[in-house]
Order: sequence, then C-alpha cells, then structure tokens
Amino acid sequence: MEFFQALNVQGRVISALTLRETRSRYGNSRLGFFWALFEPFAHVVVFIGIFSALGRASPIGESMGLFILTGIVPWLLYSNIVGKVMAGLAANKALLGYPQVMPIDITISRVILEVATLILVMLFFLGLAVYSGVTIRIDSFLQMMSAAGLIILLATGIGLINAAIIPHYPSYQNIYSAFSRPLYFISGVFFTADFLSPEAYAMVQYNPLIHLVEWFRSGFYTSFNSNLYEPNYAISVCLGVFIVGLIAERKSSKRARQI
Amino acid sequence: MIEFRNVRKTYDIKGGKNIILDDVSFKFPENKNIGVLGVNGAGKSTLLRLIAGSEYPDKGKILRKGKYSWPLGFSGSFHGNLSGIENLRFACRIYGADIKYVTEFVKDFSELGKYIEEPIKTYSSGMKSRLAFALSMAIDFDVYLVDEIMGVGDQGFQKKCHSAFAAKRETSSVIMVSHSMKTIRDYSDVAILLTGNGLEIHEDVDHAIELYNGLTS
Repeated sequence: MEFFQALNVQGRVISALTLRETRSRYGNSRLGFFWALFEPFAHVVVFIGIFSALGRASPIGESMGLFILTGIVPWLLYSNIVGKVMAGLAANKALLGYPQVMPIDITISRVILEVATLILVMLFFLGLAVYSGVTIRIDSFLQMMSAAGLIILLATGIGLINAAIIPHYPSYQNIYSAFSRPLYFISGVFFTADFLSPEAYAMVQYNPLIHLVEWFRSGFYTSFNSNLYEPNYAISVCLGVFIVGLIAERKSSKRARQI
Repeated sequence: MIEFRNVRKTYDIKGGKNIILDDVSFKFPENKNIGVLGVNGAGKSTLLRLIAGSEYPDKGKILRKGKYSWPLGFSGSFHGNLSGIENLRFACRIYGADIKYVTEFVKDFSELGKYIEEPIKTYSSGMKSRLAFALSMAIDFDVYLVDEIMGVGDQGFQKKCHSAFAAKRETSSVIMVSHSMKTIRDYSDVAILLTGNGLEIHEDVDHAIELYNGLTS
C-alpha cells in the first residue's frame, strides 16, 4: 500500500517535472521546437555538402541524408542526455525544497523529454525523406530500439557520474567537454567501421558508442550488417556505467538537498 | 505527529563541521502551534527543513504522520525562472491539488495582480512570501512550516494571514521560525529553544523568550 502510494507520488512528480521542462524548453519561444530540428538538419546538410564535394556516395543505401540521419540521431541521443542530466540538478535545485521531489526524478524527466524530442525529430526527417521519394524499409525495429535503449543507459550513467563529480571539482566540466568533443569523430556518425584502416579500427573498437551507432544502423538498413558491434561488449559497458551512475547519484543526492 | 529518533545533522564548514543536532530524540507536541527560537546559525531553518523532509538527517530517523507543508520561506521552493503561475501549477501537480481552484484562490489572496505571470526572480521578498502563503493556504496541510515570512507585508495582508490561520486552527497547526518575538507570541502555544546542545520545550512562551534573550545578549 505504502509502496504504491510512493509510486503514485513519484509519478506525479515526474510528470510535473517533464511538463515544466517541456514548457521551459519549447514553450517560451516561438522557434522552440524548430531548434530541435535544426541541429540534426545542420549536420545532415554539412555532411551531404562535404561528401558530394569529395564525389563520394553514401556508404549504405542510396540516400546520403538518411545515412547521416541514422548516425546523428543516436549521437544526439547520447550527447544531449549527458548534457541535460549533468546540468539537471543545478538548474532545478530550488524545486528540491519540496520534500517529494527527488534528484533522480529530475534526471528521469529530462531523459524522457530528450527521448521524446529525438523520436519526433527522427519521425519528422523520415517523413520528409518518404515525401521526397526515398523508400524506407526498416530491417529490425527491435534492434534499433535495443541500441537506442543502451545509448540512453550509457548517457544517463555518464551524466550522473559527471553531476556527482562537478560540485567537488568544478574544473572537471571543462576537462570532460575537451575529452568528449573528439568522440563525435570516432563514433561512426558519418562513416561505417568497414571503411577504417586496421589501425584506426583497432583503436575505435573500444568506444562503446560506435558499437551502438552501428547496431542502430544494422537495425535500420536491410543491406547493412555491422562487423564491428558486439552486443555483449556494448551491453556490459552500458549497464556497468549506468550502475556506477546510479551509485554516484545515491552518494551525492543527500548533499544535493542542502542549501 | 513528528518524532526525531537519534537525529544527527551537521554542515560542512571551512575547517570542520558545524553540528546542529547531535543524537537528538524528540517528540513534537501534537496539535500545538510551535515557535522555534535560537540564535543565528543554531539551525532553526535546518530544523524546519528536516521536519518537512526537504533535507535528510546524517544519522537517525524522522517519523511523521500527516500532511506537512514545504518550508515556507524566502529561499522557498519557487523556481526563479518560472512565473508565479507556473510555480503554482507545479506545486498543484505534485500535491495532487486542483489547479483551477488553487489558481483562483491564490490570485485573490496574494494580491499579486499581473505580477503572477512574471518570473519569480523579479519578485520582492514580500511578494514571494505572499505567493507562498496564498499557495499553502489553498493546498490543505495539517502542519504549516513557516520560516520567517510571517509578519511580512503591510498591515492589511498580515491581518488576512492571521484570519486565514485562525480559520484553519481547528484542522491545522503551525511550526514557525521568526526573529520577531511579537510574531512568536502571537502565534505560538509552546516554544522550542535550540540551545546548541539540543531541543528544549517550554510551555511558557514568555519564559522561553526570556531565556532566548539571555542567549543573545
């Protein structure tokens, strides 16, 4: 009984927080959701430009745009969630004055909004592709979802770990962003692992994100099956990071409530 | 009902710890209006936040039954970037209160006018306390936890608060922190003195105020 009551309260808190996040992100300016569409659009346009200047065709399928889209969506899922989870507590500290609002609720609501946003973004661009005459046949929806789910776990875990470290070492934030920037270039957003030289391949294969991007694409394309991704490696890294993140959250949440 | 069992609460300060409560076991008197007295830094606000559940003890347990308000104070639970209305809606959602009713009540009670649509960070402290008061009166609580904001605002608003509390007296009580001895006298049936070693309860509020004056001078 008490458990269900607590669950009910937490449900109310999370939905209230999600609403509040949505409103503050998209409600206050007319351009709101346009910006969510603009970022992936810009990536796609830039890479179409680069690839056509080099005279290269899409690594998979006919459509270059679709290829970049299936890389940029997982990437944004990762990097946006890390950023949002990391900054979540600082942005909502005042609301912790309400006893029923838990720090983890803030994280959950931010992840929900980010996932919902990217689903809409993905659907919008797929719709656009179909409208402009590209045929889309999704190979395995389940595989795409598995990869996306693991990205969510990984990103949430890293976000929580960062959020726990930053109050102790504020300069860590700069260190983190310096190290995470190159990640974009080694995560297979605009290439597949098959194109890499053996040396490069040996290096990037430990990056869990490239596994997940390739997994996501393997689910999307019937004509593509990645040789790189190993479900066992990706799953254990993501789960491990997520669990460490939850422990870090537990340890730091008591302190988070203090004014 | 609120009971502290072996509660310890400390704050990290430069070069050590500020101990606010050390292994305190204490049962708060029920259905009584309680004024909390203590010198600056003794931990009055922390005590309220512990009672509310906004902050957790380092050690020990806090048992509570009934519906406690969030600590109504200047620092409050309001989000600076959100408007008064948005903050109000948020509170309604997490307490499961009726948004329409609460909005009407708060608009009428708080006298904030069109400011209710403005972000909280533009509010004066008086306006914040008016909003906090109005909102907490609209959501029914068994115990109101009031941190310093009683006795703010003009005479008219003070009267309004007084009569709103008087109307709730049958069903609710208040635990309050204030630097104004007049406010403490006006509202409290009993006083709790934070001595630095623990909590002392005094049935005689005037006597507690005398002891408190002894501590401060």
